Amino acid sequence: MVGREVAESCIDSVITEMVSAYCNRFYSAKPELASPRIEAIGFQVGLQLSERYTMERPRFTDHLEAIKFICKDFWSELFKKQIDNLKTNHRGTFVLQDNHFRWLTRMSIEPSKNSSDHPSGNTTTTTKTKESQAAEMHLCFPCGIIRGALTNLGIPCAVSAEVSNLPAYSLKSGEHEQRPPCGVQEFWAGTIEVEAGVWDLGERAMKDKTKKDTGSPFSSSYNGRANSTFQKSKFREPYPFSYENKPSEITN
Amino acid sequence: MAPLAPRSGDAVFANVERVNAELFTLTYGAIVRQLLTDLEEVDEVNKQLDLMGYNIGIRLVDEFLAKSNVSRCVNFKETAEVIAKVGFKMFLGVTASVTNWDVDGTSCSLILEDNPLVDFVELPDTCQGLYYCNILSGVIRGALEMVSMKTEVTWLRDMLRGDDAYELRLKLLKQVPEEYPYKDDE
Repeated sequence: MVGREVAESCIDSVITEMVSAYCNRFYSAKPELASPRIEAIGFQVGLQLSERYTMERPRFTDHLEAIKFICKDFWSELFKKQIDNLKTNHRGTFVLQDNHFRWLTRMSIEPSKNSSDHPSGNTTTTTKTKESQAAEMHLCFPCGIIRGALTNLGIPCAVSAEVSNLPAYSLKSGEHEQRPPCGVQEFWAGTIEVEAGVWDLGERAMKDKTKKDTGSPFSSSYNGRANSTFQKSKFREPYPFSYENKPSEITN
Repeated sequence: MAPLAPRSGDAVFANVERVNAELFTLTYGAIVRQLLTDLEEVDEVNKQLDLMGYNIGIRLVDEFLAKSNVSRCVNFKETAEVIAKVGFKMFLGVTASVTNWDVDGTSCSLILEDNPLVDFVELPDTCQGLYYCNILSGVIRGALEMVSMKTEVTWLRDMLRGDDAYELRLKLLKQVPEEYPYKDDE
């Protein structure tokens, strides 16, 4: 369905400028105030977009179906491609991997003097932090979009992003079965990691992820990173919950 | 090598990467909404939208010049026409019309009847005085400044405020000749 179109540079420019305004103009001294606002903008967009893209569909039967919708149809509408890999630990955490995230491919970070000294691709901590910070700020926006979309589909969650290697990045999103019965939006910060990146296969071994060449873009492998990064929400004590008996394979 | 012929707005638009306008419309709307929440004052939001537009325009003009192959405009009239027919088309997918020239040829109106920024947008009463599309005025101002023209761009009509079209008044203030950083002799 091709509706009205605009040039891609419109959306690129507007996002870049928005992030720049929030990080460098409005909250330059306090970046921690900028990121939730950028995320909130994304949340609004995700909410409305998922509303529009699911208007003609029946409700999703379970969370996995909703996540798969995000990975396939929703991602295609936004980025003209699907998520490349989906993993889960079957306990509410999902990892979405995009190997070529459109909105970061055009990002240019001012090259630092140090980065050229390391042919292995490793950068010094400072340059990596700066690059990571800039990219993470940008990623707040798509994180918000995913969170808004999932929230609209009835799945409260937290989504976060992590930059490992520009233009590589990983988005994290946590997912929770039960919504506390109160008006306040409470959610857990879990870990759905969307790991993305253009891997320099020659130079840099992939991290301890097992990349199975199954042919299917969805694999059920999970590297157990979730446990170490599970954060408590500031509102409540975490309570254990488990995914109802779901098969371990996430097939197409 | 003969210079490439300038392309029509349609041709350029067909050749650039395009996205669903909905994403753009909703993103812009969410930004304006968040700006209103954070900055609280409508005048401040107008100012920031213009500034954001300016920052976008100073970069967008490079893409415009590269992809459209327009030759140097001989006068401001040509400039306005190019903005309306090629510029708007290649980015927003819509064309504007140019009218109401003053006697000097330094001031005109750009009229937009169709505007992707405002699809499905309604302004609540609390936003009196908001120029929702103010980013556009900044973009034009920034782009023209990069090609040595200082301009003033203001809104005369705004459909979100009840008018029947979007009308931008484009006024050329000063044409600043390009300065070379080195002496051209020898």
